Amino acid sequence: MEQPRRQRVAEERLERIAFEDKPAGPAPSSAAVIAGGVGAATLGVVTTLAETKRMSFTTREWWGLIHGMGLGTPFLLAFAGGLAGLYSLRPTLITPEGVVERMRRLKVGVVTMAVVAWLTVITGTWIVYPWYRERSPDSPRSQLLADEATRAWHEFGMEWKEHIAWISPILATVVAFIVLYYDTNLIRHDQVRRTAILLFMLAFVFAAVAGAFGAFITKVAPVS
Amino acid sequence: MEQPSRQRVAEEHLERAEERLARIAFEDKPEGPIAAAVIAGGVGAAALGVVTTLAEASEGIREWLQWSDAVGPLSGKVIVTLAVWLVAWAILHVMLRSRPYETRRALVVSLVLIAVGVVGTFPTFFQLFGE
Repeated sequence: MEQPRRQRVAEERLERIAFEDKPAGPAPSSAAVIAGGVGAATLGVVTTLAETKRMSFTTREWWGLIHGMGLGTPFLLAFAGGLAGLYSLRPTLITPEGVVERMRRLKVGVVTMAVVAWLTVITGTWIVYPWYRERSPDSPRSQLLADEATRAWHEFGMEWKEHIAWISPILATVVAFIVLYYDTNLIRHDQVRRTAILLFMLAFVFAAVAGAFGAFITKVAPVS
Repeated sequence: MEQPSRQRVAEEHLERAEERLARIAFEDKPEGPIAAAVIAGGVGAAALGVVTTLAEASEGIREWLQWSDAVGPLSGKVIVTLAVWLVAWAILHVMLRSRPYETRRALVVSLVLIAVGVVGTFPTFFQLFGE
């Protein structure tokens, strides 16, 4: 399609979109700019404090952070992006031009979620978990089991977390396969799209259960 | 000016959607490989549930699954699970790759298997089999 015609089509579409014009006053945009500045300043202050007060983590704490926050954050972002992409992949919500770009984003979202889910369970099981279950009396597992009030964190929380987490990357990989295999076909097969959404959500729920128990257990008996 | 009825608006919406759909380039493929992946995912989840419960029920199995001293029986449980999942996927893929296998049926099978996996990995359940 020629560029002027494409622009005309885009302008026509724009005219059909209902909107309520708002004054382009400085207040909302200024607030956003100031909030951005506050965020950047906070980062600077925290970094300086970390340097001057010698805030530091042990290797084990770093791995705990990588396993939980470092991988948990992109997992959440990829889930949100992937779910939005799968949900809106419907003929009524998408144009032939838009589907190409939408599919690219969807593929990035679902593949990222699968890769991050694998990295999370691998680092959790083979790096952090051995420190958690060491035989020494001060390992988190020993500490939790030594007190009747905290036993259930291991016997229920950790036991469930360490197993159910592994279902998440399996299901996320199935969804990534569906999206990569069907590509734009997915827009024509609504049942397949719905199946992918359900499995994607299950993958997220299982990871959320594991993540929540991981956060709670770290609060009660951290790996340090 | 007379407003178009709701039904007319919905029909126009649908017509536009169909028109757009016709303009989207695609190469249609059989649904079999998707059904194979969906069922295999369920097989993987169920395998984890079964292995977890078996490890609790039998000291011998638990010891056999201890492929890494640092990780304990969890190492064997996840490696067995991944092996079962990948082998099941490969077999199902070969069986269904050219078939127009219905995804709804595959999803039902998979959800039942996932439920087996969830129950089997639920501590209150598998600890019932503890020696």
